[in-house]
Amino acid sequence: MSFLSSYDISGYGLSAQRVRVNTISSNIANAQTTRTDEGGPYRRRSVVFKAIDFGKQLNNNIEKNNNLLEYSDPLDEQDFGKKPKPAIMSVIVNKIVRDDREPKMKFEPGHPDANAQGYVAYPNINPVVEMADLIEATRAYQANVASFQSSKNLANSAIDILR
Amino acid sequence: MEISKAHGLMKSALDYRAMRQDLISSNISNADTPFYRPKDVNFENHLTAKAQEVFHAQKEQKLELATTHGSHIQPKEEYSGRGTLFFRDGHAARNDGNSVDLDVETTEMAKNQTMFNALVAALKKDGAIFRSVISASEKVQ
Amino acid sequence: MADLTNVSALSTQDLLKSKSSTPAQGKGKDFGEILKSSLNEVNEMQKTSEKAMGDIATGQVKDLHQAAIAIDKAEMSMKLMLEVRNKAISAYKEILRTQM
Repeated sequence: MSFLSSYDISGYGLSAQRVRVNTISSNIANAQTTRTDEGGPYRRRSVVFKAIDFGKQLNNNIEKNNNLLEYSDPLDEQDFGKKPKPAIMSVIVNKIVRDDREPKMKFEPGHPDANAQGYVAYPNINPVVEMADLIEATRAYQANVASFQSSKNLANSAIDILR
Repeated sequence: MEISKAHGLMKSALDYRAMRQDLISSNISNADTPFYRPKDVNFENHLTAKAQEVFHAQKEQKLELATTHGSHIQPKEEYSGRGTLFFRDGHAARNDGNSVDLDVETTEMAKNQTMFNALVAALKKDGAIFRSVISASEKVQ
Repeated sequence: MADLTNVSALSTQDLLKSKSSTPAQGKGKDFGEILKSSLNEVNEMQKTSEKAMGDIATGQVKDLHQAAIAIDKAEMSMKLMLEVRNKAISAYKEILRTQM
């Protein structure tokens, strides 16, 4: 189903943005956490996206020729003898990195997690920055949904030829 | 009597796609169930083999294992001649053991729906061509 | 002005040449051959549309609109061929009706 890989491109984008929203939400929820299993205060996490080449898989499918109907490739420049391969990229989450900067120190001598000098280590999370990232991720998710709807419209119009 | 070579293929494709729709909607409704793994049906290979049979009149060429002794064991059948159920857990499960990814499920549902609509429209056109031949002679004056 | 007269003289000469060349060539296609070749064309389009439907069934279709166009072309060509056949039969009946 090579023509339906446009759905997959948007689908991968949706999954990636969802992971990002979850990460930002966990950052916001843990903005005041002073103890974790790994020791020390909560460290801010962020996602790293990576582009993957859908085009290679798509071109392999087109060249594999295991379909019955003759496929006329619109990009086939027979005069020049070259077949341009469109760069169709999608996105995956490569890794989730931890921010290892120095935590914020606050003077609270009565706190159970206070160190010898009476300072407590708080996570280095700025809620304003996290909120801005959250809005951006939500907008990106909605944009991916819009491109998905557009691909669906294209496919439905192609089916309308037969009605 | 067959209406066209591909008519039987399209009918079984419709059955498989209806089954896939049921599986996907049950996956989506179980998006919170602990230890639930999303299921799907894999029928493309089976239908491709059948299409090769119908159109090119060649059965699937498999290399059979030569069994020369009575106690030789046959290998496990990879292709059983019909669609198979499989688990679609692509990424790690969450804390409650559930591995349903809502985005993957909605994408698969949209793909399935598009192909289902295409199949219905193509079947209708197939019948229309056949019917036009039948009803052509009543227009002769 | 000289150019215009040259051009007009050229065009009439070309017309005369083309008119005289067709009977000199001799063998055009007769009606039976035209009929047979168009029937073969309709048959080819039906076979292409069956392949397209097989592709849609197995899900291996590369471009849905190409398959849809192939199926639509098959229907159009079949209907056109049937109409031509009807006209031919009614023309034959008309000829049979001429009284001698």
